[in-house]
Amino acid sequence: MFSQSFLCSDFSSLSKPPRFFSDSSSSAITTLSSTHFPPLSFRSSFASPRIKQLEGQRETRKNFPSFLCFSVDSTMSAWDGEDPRVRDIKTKIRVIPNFPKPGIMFQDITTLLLDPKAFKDTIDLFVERYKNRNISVVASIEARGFIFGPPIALAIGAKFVPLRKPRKLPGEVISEEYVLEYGKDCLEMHVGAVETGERALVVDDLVATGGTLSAAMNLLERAGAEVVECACVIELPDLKGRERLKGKPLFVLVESH
Amino acid sequence: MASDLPQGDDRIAKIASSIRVIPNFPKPGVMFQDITTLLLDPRAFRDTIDLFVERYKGQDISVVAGIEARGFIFGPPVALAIGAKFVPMRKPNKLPGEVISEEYTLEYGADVMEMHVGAVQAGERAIIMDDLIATGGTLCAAIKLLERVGVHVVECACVIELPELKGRDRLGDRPLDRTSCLEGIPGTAIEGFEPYVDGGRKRGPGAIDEVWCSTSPVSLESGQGDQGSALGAFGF
Repeated sequence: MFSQSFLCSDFSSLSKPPRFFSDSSSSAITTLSSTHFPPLSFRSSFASPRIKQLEGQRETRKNFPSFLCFSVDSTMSAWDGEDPRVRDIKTKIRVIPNFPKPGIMFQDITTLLLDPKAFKDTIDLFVERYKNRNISVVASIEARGFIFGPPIALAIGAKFVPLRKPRKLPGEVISEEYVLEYGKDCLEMHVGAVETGERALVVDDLVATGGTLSAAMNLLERAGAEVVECACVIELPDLKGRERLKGKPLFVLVESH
Repeated sequence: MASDLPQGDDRIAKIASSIRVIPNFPKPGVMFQDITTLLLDPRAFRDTIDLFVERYKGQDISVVAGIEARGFIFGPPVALAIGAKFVPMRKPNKLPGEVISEEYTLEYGADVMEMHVGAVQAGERAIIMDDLIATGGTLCAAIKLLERVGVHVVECACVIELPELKGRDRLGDRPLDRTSCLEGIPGTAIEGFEPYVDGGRKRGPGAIDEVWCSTSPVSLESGQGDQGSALGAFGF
């Protein structure tokens, strides 16, 4: 059960728990519905009893999305003593139940990106940690890693190296296969992107089982780089991804159980 | 005018020279413009972002939309620097929440672009960013998605344009900006790039008049942080 709900701002005045994307009377949906809209594709179902449904609340501030509400597990309150920026970042991450398949609680960072201050704080927290550590490479995993890696690279003066699914990178590549729950996948990096001895950071939005991070680390190490640390916005610690990183340190801002 | 920005010309030339061309990718006859080599040069990458930031800050732009996946590399740094939100535009079934979709045509077949419901509000001013504009199909789809929810698309901004594919014409009357322009002759490997001078005003008939160099010289003093970059003003 939830001991508290982390809400976006201005909800202290609400007298009842908000609901998230409920029925058509929700103000979040009807605000945007207009004659211009084709039927919306509504993929998420909210059958999970674990999730308290929160209603999108109309928000009068210009740049603030009206739909941005959710609740988080009470164990995240362990982070209450942390940097206040982290607490705010946590509140901006939206959880979508049963995506991409039933039983999965998807951590949606797109809502974090809609808050310029929270997005900047996210980047700042990484930059503060990694500047002046002689890191010359920031590598990120397609596609959400591409959102966080480049700003960090720019701020610390490192090169940015995209790690991609097969056949996306146009030049000569090295490939690393890794195991999925069912089957395998492959991650690629351009030959020549990193040089022997460079110090590298791997950045992604989230670490779950650690499979993709591990593949990323292998690619960099095969090219002769030294992986200094892996950095993610969110960790799902129950999936023990940390143990798959061959002893390399993992730094995250937010845990979600 | 580009000539009013002595630094501008120099930066564009270096950016253009850092872009690698890979012939016959993804299929024979295509000269693929590879921006990953630009990303390996921190100074060139920073200059690329700076050029966009200098253009868009102070323009009351609250939304930067980026098209998956290479648009995700250039959009967020620009959004962060100008204080705008970043909105990813994605292929189908990637965005987890409720979405609106726009179909667009490819050379063979069609594709679909999606955006989260609620990401933007009517009346917001937006720019759309991608690494490259070719036929303009994806940019067009992105424009339509944003306009459907009442957003004003101020400009489309790309690092590279392939002018012979006339993508600009598909944007209608919406302006397009790009930092460097490759005058590619299809099927020929380009050794060096010739960035457009004079703001690209020597474009062919029917081309949209570019706004790129029509503004007064950018005052870098407001944007210059410790690192001498527009990004520096925002703590980067």
